Amino acid sequence: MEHSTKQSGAGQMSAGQMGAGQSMSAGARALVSFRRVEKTYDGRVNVVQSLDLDILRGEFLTLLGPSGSGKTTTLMMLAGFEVPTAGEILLDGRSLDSVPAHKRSMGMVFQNYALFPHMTVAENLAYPLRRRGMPKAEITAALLRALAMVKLTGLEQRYPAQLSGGQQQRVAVARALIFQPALVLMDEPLGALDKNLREQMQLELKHLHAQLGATIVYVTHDQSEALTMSNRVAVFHDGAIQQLATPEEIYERPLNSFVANFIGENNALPGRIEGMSPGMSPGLSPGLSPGISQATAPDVCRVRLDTGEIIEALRIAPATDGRTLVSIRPERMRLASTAADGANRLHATVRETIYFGDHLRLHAEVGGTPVMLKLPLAQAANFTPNAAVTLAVDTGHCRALDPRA
Amino acid sequence: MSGSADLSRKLKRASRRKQLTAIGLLAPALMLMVAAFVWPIVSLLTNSVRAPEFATTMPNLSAWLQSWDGQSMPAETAFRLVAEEFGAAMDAKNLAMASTRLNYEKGGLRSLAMKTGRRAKDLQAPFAEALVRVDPAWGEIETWRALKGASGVFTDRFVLQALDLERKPDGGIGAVPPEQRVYLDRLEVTLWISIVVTLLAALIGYPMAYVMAMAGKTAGRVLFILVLLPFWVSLLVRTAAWVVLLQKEGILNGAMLALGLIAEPKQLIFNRLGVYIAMVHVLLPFLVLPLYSVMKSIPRDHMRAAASLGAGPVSAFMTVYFPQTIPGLGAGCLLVFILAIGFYVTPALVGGSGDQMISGMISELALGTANWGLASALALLLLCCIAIIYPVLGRYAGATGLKLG
Repeated sequence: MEHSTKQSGAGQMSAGQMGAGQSMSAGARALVSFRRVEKTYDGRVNVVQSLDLDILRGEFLTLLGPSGSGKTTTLMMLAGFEVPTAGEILLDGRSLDSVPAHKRSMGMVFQNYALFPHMTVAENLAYPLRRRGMPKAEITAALLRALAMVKLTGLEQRYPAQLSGGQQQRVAVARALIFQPALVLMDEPLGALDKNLREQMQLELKHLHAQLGATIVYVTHDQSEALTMSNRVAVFHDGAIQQLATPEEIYERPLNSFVANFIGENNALPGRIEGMSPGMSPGLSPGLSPGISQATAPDVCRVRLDTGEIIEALRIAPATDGRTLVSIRPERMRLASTAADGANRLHATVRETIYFGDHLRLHAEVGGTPVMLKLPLAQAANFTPNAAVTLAVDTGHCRALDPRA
Repeated sequence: MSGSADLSRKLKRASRRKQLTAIGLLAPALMLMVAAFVWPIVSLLTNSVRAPEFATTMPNLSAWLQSWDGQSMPAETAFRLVAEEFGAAMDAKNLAMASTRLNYEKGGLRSLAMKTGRRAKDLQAPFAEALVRVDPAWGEIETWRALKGASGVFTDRFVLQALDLERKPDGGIGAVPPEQRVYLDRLEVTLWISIVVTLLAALIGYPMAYVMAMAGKTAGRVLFILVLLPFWVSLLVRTAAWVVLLQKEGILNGAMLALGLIAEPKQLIFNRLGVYIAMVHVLLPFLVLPLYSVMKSIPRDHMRAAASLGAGPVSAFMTVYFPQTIPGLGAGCLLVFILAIGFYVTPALVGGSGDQMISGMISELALGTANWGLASALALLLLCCIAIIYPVLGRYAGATGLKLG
């Protein structure tokens, strides 16, 4: 009897969550939910437009986009430093509307670390603990653990100005984690570091995340950073999420031209969709990315490129008037080895080659549109400029996208 | 071996050339510093302990007085030297300076000296009787003691006088009679006014600088102009404006009367209150500007970081923001205090009789009565006050590089 009452209670709760427009599983797993959140500073342009986003418990979510895309504003609204103009943000199902920043208990790492220069490393790290009234002995223990975690043991009496950029970065991370927040926000924390250190810190952050299991929301404009660390990436542009998916999905299967161009390198060939290819099943096409089952696979269409050539491509999101940009990753193109190699063949003119150490880059033109290929060194033949070559690419790697988005 | 010696010689020659260039470039500024700053100050301060006017005008008499024990009436030799050297000084037109010096030792000696000088030529031996006939004062031992006091090249009387002390007849140092005590009282008033003005400026200037640092570009610029506005108007005009505003029939009293806030006009000026108001107004920019520049350099992220770590607005301000502004506050207070301690025009114009500051007395002594010795001694006293206070406040200001010196 009692058991069934509990169950019905749980059922009601789920129904309520579903009423809020969420599927039951997402509602239960989401730590943070943005509900139609908007933000405008000047009353004319929305910096963030009607954002719906669920941040799952324990995930490493990266908000990726160029500057001015709304990613930082989104993070600041979550942290409580900016107030949404409309909509609401839920944490654990409770609205954050009336919760001030200092009561949200979210760890935050800032772009320039925001370490307090008048405090030592130890004082910086103890700051959140002292604000919470933790006893001295416990603070000392937590301090030592945190220092060990970021490999800074022995530096606790230094001032931030006496540390290198990488060390300051570690202190900032440790300070954001030391009070064990469920949610940690990072605003381009590696932007000020040089390339080698940045790559090292990316791995360390990834390992820390795996170790601690905290939910991390990470803002960056660096796509390689996003791909390296994230469980999921939300690509921002013009105040809206263009695509929210795993790094592999984002790279291999971009949903629009912006994502295709912003992430990695991209060849975009303009054309017009001429019709579907009923006889062609993409599942049979060699080179179609694994993980897509026959049922969810997109249709295959025929595209007449502006050069006049016809190729077959996956029909992802062409414009209503049929105009399209066919997106092909440089490493998916190859030189046609035989007359029948590949589903799609393109006639190109060599412009130049660049030796990259581990591969060769071939810059060519397909009817005036520049394309770039990454060739293994084994294929590095002598290309003479203006020589005609034939390029091959499989249907599964040609994605017909809307040219305007 | 010889090659390395050659190399080090070359290095030495090159670095010497660099040094000479640096010295050459610095020379004009250095010379200006010495000519316009160091030399006048040193020579002025020397005046406080060096008063050779009498000793150089009457070398033989001075030599005799130096060896005199000051207990019994001098011998005839002394009277003869007086007659000879006063007469000679009269001819050389040096007597006025020497008699002014005498007058500092004992009032009335100037006229005695001038009278004696005019009639010195006609005097015959025995000179003791002849001089007593010129003026009975020559028969008093007090007169001779005063002469002895003026006979040295160096003297401590001005420094002692500045501290309301004097040489007693027995050679010891003691306080001057209460009715003659002037300078310590003025010093106390000066220090008190300077401290109150500094505190008031800090209380008013801190929030002002804060608003300026936090304001947007346009608002910040307007506030900046408002702060600098007092600099655009001459000190006298500003002070006169305060008289117009604050006098009994002034605008402020009129307004308060009309509003029924007060029954009869309040004394707002020509007393200490007026001095505080006018001085704080004049000195406020000197506090606001260094404070503003320090506040401007504190990243906004610091307060956000404090909030994200659990500190409420007040706690974040007290633990993170305020400590970082202490150098600016120290530099500002130091500037205001040093400037305030040297004020004399403003207190003279808007203060009452009890509000005159030491600098006013220095100016009066130097320009009014030409008592450079006492004026210099008082200046030395002020310099010592600043030398004591400077390291205290300067330690806080040190970290900013705004420290003066």
